[in-house]
Amino acid sequence: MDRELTPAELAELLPAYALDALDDDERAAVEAHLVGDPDARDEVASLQRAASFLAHTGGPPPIGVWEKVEATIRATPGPSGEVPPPRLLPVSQPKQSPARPARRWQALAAAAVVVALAMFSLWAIDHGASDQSVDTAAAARVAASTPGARHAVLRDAEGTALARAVVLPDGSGYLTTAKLPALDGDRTYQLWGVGDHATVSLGVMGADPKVVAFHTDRAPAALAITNERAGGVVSSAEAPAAVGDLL
Amino acid sequence: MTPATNPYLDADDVGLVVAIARYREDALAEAYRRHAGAVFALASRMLWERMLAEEIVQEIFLRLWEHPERFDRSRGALRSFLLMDAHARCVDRVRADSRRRDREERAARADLVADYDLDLEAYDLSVAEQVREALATLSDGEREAIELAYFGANTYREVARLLDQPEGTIKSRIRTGLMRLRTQLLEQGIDESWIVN
Repeated sequence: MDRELTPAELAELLPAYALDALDDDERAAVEAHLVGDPDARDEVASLQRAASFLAHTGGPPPIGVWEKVEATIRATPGPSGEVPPPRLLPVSQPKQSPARPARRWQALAAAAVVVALAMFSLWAIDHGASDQSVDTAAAARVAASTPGARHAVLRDAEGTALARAVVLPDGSGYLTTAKLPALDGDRTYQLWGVGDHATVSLGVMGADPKVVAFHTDRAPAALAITNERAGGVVSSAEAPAAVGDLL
Repeated sequence: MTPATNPYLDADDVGLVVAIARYREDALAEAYRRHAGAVFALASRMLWERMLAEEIVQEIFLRLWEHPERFDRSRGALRSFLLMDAHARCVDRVRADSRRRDREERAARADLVADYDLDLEAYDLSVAEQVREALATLSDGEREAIELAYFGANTYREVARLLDQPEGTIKSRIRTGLMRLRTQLLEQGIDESWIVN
């Protein structure tokens, strides 16, 4: 299937896709469409949840399998035999998130102490100087002039503008760095969204990001950037390198 | 790991996965205790071989350990995520298995014996009963098409051949049936809050 799906075709195929019941060519066509259609992605997720109830029969776990799982994870220690650093999670759980007003971030920045606990919606962030970043830069320029977009200028403690960001009504966001200094290879910048009830990781950006694309399912009141060890962190104890309200 | 000593006994999905991301084995053990049975039951029904089903269970929980970031709470509960993952893995196995045409003639699934508490069992039975009621609202054709696709790892085209029906008919039955199932589950109040977390 070398063409785009019509809306009618898509409506017919999504339920079968949710059941893993498409041939390879149709599945590829649906997945190509899903990349640019968040509504269709939501519909697939909803249908997959419904389908998963078909298997909600429960029952006891198989004997002896946990021991194999346990043995495997113990046989694969982290770097230098130590426990590796925690990993970021694309989880959304508003009721689990600590209330943290946006202004609090700026106060914490002044105090050079940041603790960000909640996480949600970590999307792959493309960064660097690849062809993909060129496309991202073009998309960011288009987004900047989109009606309804919210903008932020992220500044350091001295008030210097280090990055600019735009978030569209559908949650798509782009951040363009201006004077953000490049980090050593073992460090990364990490982007955070600050809401009324949660401070969330939006993803790691790499050591020398130029333009990054991100997504947030909610509408953060502000954005912040921290300097973290490569791979990012779940909880940050670093002062933000830059913060800015989304207006 | 006994339930009484597991500090994550009362943790919800997010708490468990965050702890797993911090390499807490206890958290993975608790996720396993809650959901491995459902994963195993699905894999057993799809693969009809105990050893293969056990491999799927092992694979799914190791993937959760290695890539907890794949779980997105906004897309559903942890059990749904694990079941979707397991389903996809089973589909891959079945479609790669040239012997799959014979699998329905194989022996019934193996006996299941393991650590499984009564509360979980009662909960699972309750959900299963609700799901049965929801399924009962589907037409026979819809239910048959969905079950052959979901549990049989068949494409809708294969389902059409199995039932000697036009492909468009099967595609429509899957669509209307799955959407009706979703509506029924919602109307019966079965949503993510029903899922153990």
